[in-house]
Amino acid sequence: MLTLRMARVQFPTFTFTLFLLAFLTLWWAVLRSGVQPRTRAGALLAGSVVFYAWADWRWVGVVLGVGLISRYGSAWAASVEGSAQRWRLGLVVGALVVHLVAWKYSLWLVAERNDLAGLWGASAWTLPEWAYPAGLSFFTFHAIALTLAAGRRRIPVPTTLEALTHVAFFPALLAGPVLRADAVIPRLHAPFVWAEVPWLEGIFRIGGGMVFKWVLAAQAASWADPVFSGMAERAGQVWWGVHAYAFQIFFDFAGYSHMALGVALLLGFRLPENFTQPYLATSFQDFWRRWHRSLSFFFRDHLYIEAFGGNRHGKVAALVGAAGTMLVSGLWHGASITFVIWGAWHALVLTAERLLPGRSKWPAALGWLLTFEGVAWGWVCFRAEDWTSAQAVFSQAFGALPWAWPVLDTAAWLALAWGTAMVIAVSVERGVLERGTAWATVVDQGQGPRWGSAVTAVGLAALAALVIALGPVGVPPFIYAGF
Amino acid sequence: MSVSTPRRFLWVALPLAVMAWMAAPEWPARAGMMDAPWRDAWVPIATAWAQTHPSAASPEEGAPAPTSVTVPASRPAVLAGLDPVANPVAVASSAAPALAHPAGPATASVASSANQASIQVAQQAVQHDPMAGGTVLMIGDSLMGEVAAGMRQNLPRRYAVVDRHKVSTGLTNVAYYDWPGTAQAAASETHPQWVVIHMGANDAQDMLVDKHWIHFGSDVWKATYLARAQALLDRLATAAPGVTVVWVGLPAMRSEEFDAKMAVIRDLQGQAAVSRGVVYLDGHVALGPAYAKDAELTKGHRTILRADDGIHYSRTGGTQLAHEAAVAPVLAFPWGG
Repeated sequence: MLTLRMARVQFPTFTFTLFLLAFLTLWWAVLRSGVQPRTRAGALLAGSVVFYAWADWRWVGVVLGVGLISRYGSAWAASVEGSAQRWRLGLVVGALVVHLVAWKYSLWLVAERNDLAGLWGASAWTLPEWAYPAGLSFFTFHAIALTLAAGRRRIPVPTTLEALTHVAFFPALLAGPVLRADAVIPRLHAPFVWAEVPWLEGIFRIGGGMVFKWVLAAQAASWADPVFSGMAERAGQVWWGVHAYAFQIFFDFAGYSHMALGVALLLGFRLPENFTQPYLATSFQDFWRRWHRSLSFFFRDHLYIEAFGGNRHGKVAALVGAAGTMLVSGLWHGASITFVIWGAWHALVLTAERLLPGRSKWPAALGWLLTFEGVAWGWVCFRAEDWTSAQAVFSQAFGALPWAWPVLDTAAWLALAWGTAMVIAVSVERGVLERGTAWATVVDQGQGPRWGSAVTAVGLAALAALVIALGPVGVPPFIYAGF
Repeated sequence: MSVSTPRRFLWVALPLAVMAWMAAPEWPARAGMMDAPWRDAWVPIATAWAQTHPSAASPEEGAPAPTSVTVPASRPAVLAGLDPVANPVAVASSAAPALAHPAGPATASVASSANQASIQVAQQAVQHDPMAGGTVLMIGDSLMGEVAAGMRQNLPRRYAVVDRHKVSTGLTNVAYYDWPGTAQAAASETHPQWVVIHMGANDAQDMLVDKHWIHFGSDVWKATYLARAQALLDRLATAAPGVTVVWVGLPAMRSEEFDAKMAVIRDLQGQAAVSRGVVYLDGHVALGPAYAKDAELTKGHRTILRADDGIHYSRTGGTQLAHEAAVAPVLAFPWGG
């Protein structure tokens, strides 16, 4: 994900700002409220295609192709009933999954096959060299969700335009949130009224997301990167760096999600929250109801419940299903054994939580500590280049490096202050969001105090100044953008 | 309805204006990194906007003005006796496992003779006790990231590895990142015994000098780039007298078009290194004369050396480059020492 040139269209870039301003003008000023849903959908699709093509024009065909498979596949399945419908759905969804696997995992699978082949002396296959489309995992999942819902007639079979618009919906196209089947299309049929759009809330979310990503995550990264490059000198530094990475990945991804939700709000679409203070979870089960909820629910609904059967076949089957779902989730995050190990770790702890007697009666503080530490150390596998590097981090944290008290110089105090700021941000995020949203709605609707608007404008300007002043030069790499 | 459009516009416009103004000094450098048609449109606007900011500095502080650079008609005399075709020399790095190259003739042992000559120069000059340890300063762009990590892995703890690489940087865009100045500051701060330089992947672009665009590959471009590389080395020598500098050259790239551009960069970097008596190590030695995504480092097992983009290294690739290119020849350390 480290690119040689500036990223061209990601959220926190100049080109995206221009694109968004132009698109918003089109959306609200040119397309007035009386416009046909079809026209709106067309405009949204056109905007999404421009957005994606600007990032990488080679893959636009893939996105549209996936949308077409979803549209015609769901119509094909919806035209029959019972087991025939299930077979057809299985085929279409299977095709989408195979498509995802072929793009994303072929290099890894061929490399693993070569390693095995080397053991019995067979010759190695050439490694495939292709890059895969940005956002592949996400728009494929959008298509799968749409296909399953429409194929079962839970929602009406979409028209081609509607299906393409849903799959390519640009706020969620590159890195989520994973859209539910009814996230986009029904909203297109409701009126878009300029006065009613949650405008200030959207801006507030985008600003907050930028602070998360550009200020807090970037700062955490400055502590985590040296540790994962093997540059740590003391065990304490490794501990600090590992926990810093836990904060980095949270602020990075939650910040991105806030920006995506904010952009969607500016367009008049309300998407569900993707993160609800996951580091306050008191168990791993609780954690997965708070972290990357859109993906979590997608896997729960379509993999755990539909494919594995959920808890309909008894306790053991439910445990196996939960573990299997976690392993697949690990693998979805990346084509590497470290992601599988990460998934296996979560599967193990989730299983243990369900089997341990009296687990639910443990004090919340203990549950919180175990969960936070368990998740934080689990992220080491996520971040490390390979299993050897992950092992190196673990061994450095637990004995390979000298234990030494940190030097209490200015840098250490500053780090402590920043660390405290991050902990506070994690803890109060929900409260700030709720109160901020309430304030934003009141001011936006003109019902606040007379000075409300001016104070808001100054506050937003100050927020912007903060991001520029405290953020790093350049666009920080986004962890989830490679999925 | 009581909500007003001008207010909504203000809530967007004011923060954007604040951000645009505070980031104004960066604008010309960023505009300079865009692709050709957009760049020519944006750079004048960006430069004008940057002037409104109180801290606006001229873009070319510390770099030579193009009018005073003499364009050499032929290659400098110092290389006249070191024609790599006439004098193929094998590189002695017998301690490292040899790379079995899947294709290509047996040219793996041919390195530039500038390479060999400069290794000899360095080894005569450095009287180094391997037990003493020291500080190694790593300088470069994103490719240096994995090399620095590899260096840390290869060296014992008594060597401090200071990683000062910065992604998306190079020598062509001084306004965005001034490597000569930054390297000098880093060397003054850390007092290294060795400095390893690895950059150039971002340098295949036009340069903006004195409000004119100098096109990549032209004689003036080459002369300016050479002068900047020499300036970098001079500043390091000033900041840390007696320091041993190792310039690690770029390896083969997957894209032939990109590799051809990198060939220009390699040549200039090699010239700069030789002209200042600094070690230049050929990236082809460590990672192969032709681009190879993976290699059989241990029998029966193929290790991936390069990332998916055909440019960056995997962790193992970076380690390989760090070892082959710096640790063994210069620090005289056997593998895993």
